[in-house]
Amino acid sequence: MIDLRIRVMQAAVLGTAMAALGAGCANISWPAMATPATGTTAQAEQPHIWDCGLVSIGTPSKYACNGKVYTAMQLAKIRLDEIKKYESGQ
Amino acid sequence: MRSTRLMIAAVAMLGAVMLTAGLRPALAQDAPKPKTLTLWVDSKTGQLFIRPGKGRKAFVIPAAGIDTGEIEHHVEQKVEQKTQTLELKQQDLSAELAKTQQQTQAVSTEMAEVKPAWDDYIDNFKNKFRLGTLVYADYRFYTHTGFGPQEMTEINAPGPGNNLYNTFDVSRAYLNAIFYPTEDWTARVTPNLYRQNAGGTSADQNSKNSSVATNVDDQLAVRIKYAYLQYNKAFDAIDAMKGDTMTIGQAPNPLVSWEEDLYGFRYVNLTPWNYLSLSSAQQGLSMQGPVKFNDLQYIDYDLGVYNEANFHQMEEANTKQTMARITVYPLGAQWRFDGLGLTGFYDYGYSNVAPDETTTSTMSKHVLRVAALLHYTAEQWGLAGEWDVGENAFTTGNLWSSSGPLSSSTVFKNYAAMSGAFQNSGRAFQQGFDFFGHLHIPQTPLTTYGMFQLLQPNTKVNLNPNDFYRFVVGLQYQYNEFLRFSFASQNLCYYHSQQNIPANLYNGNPAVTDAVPRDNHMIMLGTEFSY
Repeated sequence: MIDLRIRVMQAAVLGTAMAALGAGCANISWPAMATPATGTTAQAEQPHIWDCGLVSIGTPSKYACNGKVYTAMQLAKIRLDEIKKYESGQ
Repeated sequence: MRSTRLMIAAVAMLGAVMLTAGLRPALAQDAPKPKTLTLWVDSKTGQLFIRPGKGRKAFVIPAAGIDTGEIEHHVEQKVEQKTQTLELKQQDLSAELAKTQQQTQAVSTEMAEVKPAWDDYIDNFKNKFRLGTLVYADYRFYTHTGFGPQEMTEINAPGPGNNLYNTFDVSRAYLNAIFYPTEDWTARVTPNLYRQNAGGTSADQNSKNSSVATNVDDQLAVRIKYAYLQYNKAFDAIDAMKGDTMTIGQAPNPLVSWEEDLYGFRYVNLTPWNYLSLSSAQQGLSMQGPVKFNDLQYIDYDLGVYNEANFHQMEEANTKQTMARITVYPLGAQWRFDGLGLTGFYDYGYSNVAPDETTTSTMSKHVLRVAALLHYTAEQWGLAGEWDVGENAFTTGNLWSSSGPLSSSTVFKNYAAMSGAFQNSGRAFQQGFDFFGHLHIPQTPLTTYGMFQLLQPNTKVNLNPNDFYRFVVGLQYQYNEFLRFSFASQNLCYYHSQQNIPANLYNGNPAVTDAVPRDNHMIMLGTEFSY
């Protein structure tokens, strides 16, 4: 009913706003991303779910990081082991 | 004087020595033998005692007739016998103890052997069975309600005039049970929940004069989504196809599940052909897998033959549909969707109508679905474009799968009849195109994503009021490896300007005033838990 141009513009504005919001959030420390501090060597070396591409959702879900496929459990274990190591000061 | 005293002391000392020398302990063997043996008898009970006491009288036994030595000898014999008996018993007990210790050792050995067997069973079970779940839950708020297809499976919103409608829903709850009894076979059973729609059910007659009210209501029920057997070594003889599978049962079809993983946000909205009409699972026989050379995937295929019915219908037709998808990665792919890909999908079948109805029902017609995709996927982003063509693949049942005009409605009576004429004639041709993609915002758990889909439900109708496009825009928060959340806007727009449709425009349709339906707009908070 409403003009197509207005609808397309609404979508563009909404998408741009979301992208800007997301980009503006890049510097925030996210509590859920419980990993060693951003930019540390430890973080750079290990694959994390947030940096992986989705391969499949299932049992288990699989993700690709640096060309290698990991299950969700493997990524969780890598992250939790990394946290333990970081907290123990290694 | 002094010498006299010394003399007297010496004599006294000598006399004392002589006196004491004559004294020595009275030894038993030196005592005179007793002439009598005295015991004491209780006058009331007749018991004999060896000591005197109250109520006891002395009982003297003349010793002349008793040989105490013999008594002693007899007593010694008795004691010796008792001792020997005790020694024998002790030997027996020692032997028994030794035997018991042997048995205990044997049992311990057996238990030690049993434990590894139990551990082995658990290890085997652990490696041959997997249990997981996939849950979609959401809250949806409709700023504008209207007629249209379901945004999610079995999720329905009311029709036009119900703005501000909102609801919490659980639209999926898989319980994935996957068995790997041997390396070459896999079995999967996946129950899923869905919301029943109780409209149209009637009482169940249980005898000549009685009936029971139906208990089919709008509750969440459980049905089987997947139940299939998969052979994992069907093509191991061909090196490039090693690991490809053959599947029989109720399984994912070649397109929908694949595209859901390519898109990545199925917990927010359906992929294009799934939104229009293609159910995600059918019962049939199929083969699928990658084709690899030098560890790179160049082709990914999935093809099979299936029932005309989808997974929540009963098969009535005597024909079968065939579906095939082939994806080519010209540059080679390190993982499933890596890099540039070209995909073609083809589905040809017929309506799910019994053979004796095929000559009379307007629904008995061929059904065609085609999709062509060009996509590029990296680990941080993805973009895809799709072109869709169909024949008789979008009926009013699909158009109004979420909400449609009430059959008795007078307001929408002509609109419903017009739409039926356009879509259900057996000669409806669909055409549409879609775009979808996502972008992960670096060093954050956030990903933006979106989808745009346009469809002309029947290209034979000029300015079809039901021509629509929909778009989804969202922002995802990946909490951890198993849980993610989304905030999204979903919109269905009938994009023609309001218009009147004249009668007999196509297939004998009635005239309709203000034929273009109202748009639907919804804001959604969704979540996915996957394990």
